[in-house]
Amino acid sequence: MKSSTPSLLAALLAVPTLLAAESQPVAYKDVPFPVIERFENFGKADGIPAEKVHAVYKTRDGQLWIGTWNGLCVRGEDGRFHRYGPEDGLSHKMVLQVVEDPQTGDLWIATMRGLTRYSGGRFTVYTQTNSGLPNNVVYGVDVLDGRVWVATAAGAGAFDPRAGTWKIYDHNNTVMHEPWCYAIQATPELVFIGVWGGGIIEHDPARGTFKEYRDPDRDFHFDLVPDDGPVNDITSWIAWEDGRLWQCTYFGFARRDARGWKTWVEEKTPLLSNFTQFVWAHRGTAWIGMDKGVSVTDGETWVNYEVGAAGEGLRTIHRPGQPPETQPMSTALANGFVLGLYVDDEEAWFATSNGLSRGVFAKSQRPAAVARAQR
Amino acid sequence: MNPRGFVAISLVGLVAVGGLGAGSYFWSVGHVRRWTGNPTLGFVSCTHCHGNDLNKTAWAKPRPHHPAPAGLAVAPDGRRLYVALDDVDEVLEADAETLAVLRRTRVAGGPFGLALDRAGRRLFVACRHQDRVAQLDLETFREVDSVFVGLEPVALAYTETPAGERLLVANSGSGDAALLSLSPLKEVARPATGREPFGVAASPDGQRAWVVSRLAEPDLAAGGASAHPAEAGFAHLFLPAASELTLLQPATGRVLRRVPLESAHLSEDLVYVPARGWALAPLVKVRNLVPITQVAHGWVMSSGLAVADRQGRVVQVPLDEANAYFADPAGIAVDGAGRRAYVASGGSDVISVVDLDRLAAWLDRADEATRRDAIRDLSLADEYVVARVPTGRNPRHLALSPDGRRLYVSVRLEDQVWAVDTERLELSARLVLSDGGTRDPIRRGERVFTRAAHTFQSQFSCRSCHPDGHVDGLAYDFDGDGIGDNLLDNRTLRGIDRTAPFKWNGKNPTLPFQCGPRFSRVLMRTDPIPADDLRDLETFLKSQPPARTRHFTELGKPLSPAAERGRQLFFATQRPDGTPIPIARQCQTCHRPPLFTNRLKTSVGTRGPRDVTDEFDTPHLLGIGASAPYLHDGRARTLEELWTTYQTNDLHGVSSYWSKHQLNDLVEYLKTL
Amino acid sequence: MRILPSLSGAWLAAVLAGSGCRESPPAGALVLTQTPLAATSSLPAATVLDERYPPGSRVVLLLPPYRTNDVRLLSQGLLAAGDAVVAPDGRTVYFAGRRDAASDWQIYQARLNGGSPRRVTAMPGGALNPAVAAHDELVFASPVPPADQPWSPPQPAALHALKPGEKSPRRLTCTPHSALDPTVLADGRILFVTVQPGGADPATPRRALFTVNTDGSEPTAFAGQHDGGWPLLRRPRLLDRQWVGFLAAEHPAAGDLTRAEGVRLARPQFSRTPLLPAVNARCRALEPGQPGEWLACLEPLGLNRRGSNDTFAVYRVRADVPETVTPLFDDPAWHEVEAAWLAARPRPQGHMSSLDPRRATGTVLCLDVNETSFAEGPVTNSAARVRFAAWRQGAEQVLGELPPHADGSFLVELPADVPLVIEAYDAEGRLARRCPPLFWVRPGENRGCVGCHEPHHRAPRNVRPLAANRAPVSLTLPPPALAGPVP
Repeated sequence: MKSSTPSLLAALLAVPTLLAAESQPVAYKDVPFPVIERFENFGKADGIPAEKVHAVYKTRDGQLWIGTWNGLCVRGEDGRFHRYGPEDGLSHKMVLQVVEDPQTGDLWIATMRGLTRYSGGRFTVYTQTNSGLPNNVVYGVDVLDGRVWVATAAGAGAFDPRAGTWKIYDHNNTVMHEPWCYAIQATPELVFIGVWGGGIIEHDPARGTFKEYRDPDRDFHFDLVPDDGPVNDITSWIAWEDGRLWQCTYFGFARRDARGWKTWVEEKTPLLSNFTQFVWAHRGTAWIGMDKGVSVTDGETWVNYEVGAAGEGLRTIHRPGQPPETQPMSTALANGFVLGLYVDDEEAWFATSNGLSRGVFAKSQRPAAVARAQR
Repeated sequence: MNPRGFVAISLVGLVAVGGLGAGSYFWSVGHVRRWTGNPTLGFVSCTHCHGNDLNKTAWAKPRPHHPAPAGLAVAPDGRRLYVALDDVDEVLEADAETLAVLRRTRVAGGPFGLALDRAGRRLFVACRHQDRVAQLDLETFREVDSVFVGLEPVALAYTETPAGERLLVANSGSGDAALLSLSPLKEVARPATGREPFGVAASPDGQRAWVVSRLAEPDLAAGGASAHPAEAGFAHLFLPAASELTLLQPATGRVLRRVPLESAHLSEDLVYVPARGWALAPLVKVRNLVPITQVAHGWVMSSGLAVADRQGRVVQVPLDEANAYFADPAGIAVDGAGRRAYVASGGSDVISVVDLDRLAAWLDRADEATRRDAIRDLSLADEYVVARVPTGRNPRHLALSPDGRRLYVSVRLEDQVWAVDTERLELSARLVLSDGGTRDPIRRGERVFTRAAHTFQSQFSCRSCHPDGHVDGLAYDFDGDGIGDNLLDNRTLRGIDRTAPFKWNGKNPTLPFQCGPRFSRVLMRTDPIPADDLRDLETFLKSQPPARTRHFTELGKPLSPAAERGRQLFFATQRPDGTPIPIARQCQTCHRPPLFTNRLKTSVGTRGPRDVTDEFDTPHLLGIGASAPYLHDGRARTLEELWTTYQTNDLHGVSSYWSKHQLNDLVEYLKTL
Repeated sequence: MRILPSLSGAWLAAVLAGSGCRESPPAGALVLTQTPLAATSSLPAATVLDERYPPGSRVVLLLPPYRTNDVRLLSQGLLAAGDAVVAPDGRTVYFAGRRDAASDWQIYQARLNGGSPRRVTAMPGGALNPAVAAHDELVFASPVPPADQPWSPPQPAALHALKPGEKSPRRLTCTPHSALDPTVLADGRILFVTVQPGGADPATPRRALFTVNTDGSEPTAFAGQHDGGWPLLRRPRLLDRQWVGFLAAEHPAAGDLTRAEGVRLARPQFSRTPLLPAVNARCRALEPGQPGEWLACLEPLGLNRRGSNDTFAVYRVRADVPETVTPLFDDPAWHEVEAAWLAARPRPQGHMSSLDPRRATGTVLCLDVNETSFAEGPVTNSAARVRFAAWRQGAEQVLGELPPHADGSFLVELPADVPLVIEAYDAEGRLARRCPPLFWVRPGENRGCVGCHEPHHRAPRNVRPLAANRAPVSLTLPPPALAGPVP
């Protein structure tokens, strides 16, 4: 059994710093989106069956679901996580994404071997052999108006449960030049597909058209011309909200809105790391998970959350035209390698490679204030 | 002519005729072998491949229609009874006391299920054949609105929720439920349900709604597969199937809980009992995993009732007795106080009266293990079934007057509605809609099809395995050819005219042979169905059209681009690179249109570990999209699995060159047949 | 040419007259068995039928309005007769009769319109207890057991069936004790009485009710196995849709059965009930009656409206009527000990046999040998091996053993038409459960059982037995090491 003395000492030493940090609540009041005051972390002791948490999602009825390296979990009323695995009907233990059908409350779960529906306590499995699913490796899933969209290792797919029909979109029938799809986002009019090495595909289901967004400079490692289009073709995730499309790549981050494209790279912008893996859009703000922590931005102001060398939490605020301000935090993310995110008006959740974190918003940054500020 | 000449000419003639005959024979055998790609085939009739026309099938021809009552609804004030007559496209209004018909109105599309709003001003009608829900204004008794829903809507439930009025629709053909708002009448959600949802109910407070499905599917979460050593790809065959009781939030359509009804299916109605917080669904407890060495003791199936409490916990209790069965439970009604439930047994022509107080008392007394095994105890119903009320042929739907004193019964195959006095449990009035159609052999045959009396102790009818003539989705182990050997998937009886022979091994040349002595011996364990009845049964079966798999709004429209590509793949004679596909392995060779079968046995590499043959009858593909599972033992749960998991060496069509796109296209085409 | 029809008519009339076909009995006719008030023979009764129907006993047809001098003798020319049964057609009457003191009891068919009855059987040792199954098949027991040892004589009675037009009856049962009193249920099964072995006191074996199909397959416990059975049990009859009634007594020495009991068809086990609780009378027969009532042959006792020289008479009884009422018929010169309406009744269901007479074996599939009502369950009662034996010449001949599968199932091929014994042993070799030689398999029969002494009326779980994944284990011949009788 390991001694707990070092961690105890560290905690005691950190107390003055923490008190100092807590005594400066006004330091981020001007930030126009929620700022995390502290993190609460969850791991195996809470019932999470693996270090790696790939995805986190809170359903409309308030249940928290996480996808891990070793199964799907739901957080019970006692705060502990209850696991579902293949023995319960899940298609594979490695869960990559979870989304909810807002109409039916069904969960759609992307796994390394098929797509699973969790509905009313029961699992239904769709694989490439028992259905029209393009491929068993399902990286991303989204649901809109009952239609389920998937991003797989062999193309994107659309499943219409009412008709029981599947459609596949890949390099054979779209402008997509390779089929390795990492992310998919359905919007009321368009569907965006994040393609590994293929930028972003915009699909108009009504017209049956496809449009490809590629990095115009075609440079693999550098964003030679900023704001000219997607920052890179290696799209690792996308998110869409209110006309804004956010792109994660392993070589920077980008956004497209009515004004055009905007790109960020760590060398020239507050972006914490070019290795961005996940983005969650909420009220005009992008929450970006990456290998070094989390960046949050509305495109102007940035707040980055890192784990310091000693495991301490660091919050850096980048205000437009001002030098960055780094603030120590009482707590840190469970791990800086952030694989998934969920954010709503109440809280933020982070799936990391070594546990799950909950970001508690500072009270002064409640969304109502944000909304007023935006007005 | 002299005798010698005559003899010589005769001999020459005989030789010529003989030669011609022999030549024709050898030519025809060669022709058959060439066009089937099967070098071992002998002479077969030309009709296997030629002269088939769907218009010649019995099911494509006009048939008599009957005013068979389906759904019933009683006005909130108890003065009017509404009756759906799906076969004649009518809904009628009758005086609830005298059952005199007051008004009739035409409602196109097979009006089947009925529901009234709370005030009794609007009547909603599920039109099964046109995939829509119609709204009737009861003042004018005219259809005033309509909305398309899923395939084959059969049942409706009305409730008022905080979000407004809601109508829940069971779409039996598409496996989902449409949640409709009423102002305006439009769909707000379409949650998936179990397979073939057939019963719906909603709590009056609008907080909960239930849907029960008619067919069961393998319960992969049951965990039995790992305990049963089976070759890869076969384990699910040995899992108990479960139908589903789906608990919904009627305001939004959110699925709150899916409760598996283990080894239970054929639930066709559902009722909510506010006084107890129960949802009750009649069911058939099926034991398809047990080799059919006998029928006695509920060995094949028995009838029961699923009792679901507020938490969604379900206890299955029997409705049968130790020496008598009440097959094909259909409609259920419960009085307002929650004291009595009435369950129609469509196969045994009986209404079972269940004393819910006694049932509740037994449930209170029973421990968990006893509850779990309750459905197996065939003497248990004696505790709470207090009466069996005989009815006319095939009682299906039930409705109670608001005061609970009158039970209305759709006596479907006699075209009558009965009113039963629930105190005396006697018939008090009768609405006779026709002479029962006894001159129509199809109608007579349906009576045979639905009559359980042909089976030992009336345990089941033909319909118990073939609801509406179709499939129950299960595989059975008949013991005639060895216990444990030759699992057999239940094949559809729809669209089978002109597709003889029957049975997966193709040994039954005719339907009378199949349904007569053979079934009597291997399944019913009683005297065969009498010859006259058997003839009528055959007529009925041949009159059954294939299952419909396309939405009413899609009928007559051209194929979608994907389905059209799939069609071309189905009829492909060569690969894209020009390599010919051997005739024997072209889809169209065995599944030859228009019936999509050449009615011959073929080996497609599907012999299972316990099969005694590798040649199986070629099934027709009409309505195949609704006939899962597939292959002779039902191992393929979906059409895709035929060419992914269960394809062997391109024997079941040459699929090795297909992309996933093409497979999807082919499946989409097959679902249009 | 006109004379031809007249001649034909005359010939037909003559033939009909000669055959005794005078007129059909009117509605309401009763078939009665009457026994004399006093024994006419001083010889001890040799068989159970001699005891039951002493010389002079007769079967008669009683026509309405039921006058004692208006009976039609159906057992004409016989020394004694009784045990009458009316076939579902309502016109055919069988009974057991004995032509003279030297002959055996056999089954006769009555000529309702007069004349000597037709002998139907010629069974060595005689025949008794006629019943009529589907397709007018005659079922009976044979040989007639001796009076002093009816259940375990050297040659126990077995049930037989004889199809119309056939001469050789088929044996249906293989019980080591006599199988008697067959009657036919609506579902076509034959309900009969035999000894239920394994009671607490071997000296007073208990009887119970069993069923068997008309091809001798599926011998099955019906009632009495789980609630102790009866020391005396006779004449089971399907009374209506709810009840099977019979005569029972609690004391094996009761020379004359006294009580009409019944079990509910809905729940035959644990539902035994006195059917006429308010009737203070001895009962000799209970038969179905008009709707809502039964027909009983009773001798009222004690406080009643009749004198001490009472005889058995025919009554219409209802379970809910507190006491006997005026008899329907009572001839003071006779005991009316059995009565049945001469009326059509529902025809029983037929049974389509799936036997294969070319085979000498049958197959038994047990779903879970550990499912039992004898103990707490598989944890405490797990069978490690199952032993099979055939009962031959009063001794067990071991056929072999097999371990059940992990789920408790087994599938075994066993010799046909011989009583079988199945024993389950636990891992320590202790006998956990034993199925006595009460059942058998017919050639080619596939037999299933839920468990081993499982609670009856228990349907199986919907589980694929592991044993079904293997071919049946053949135990048709005793292996050398185990061959030979077991003491």
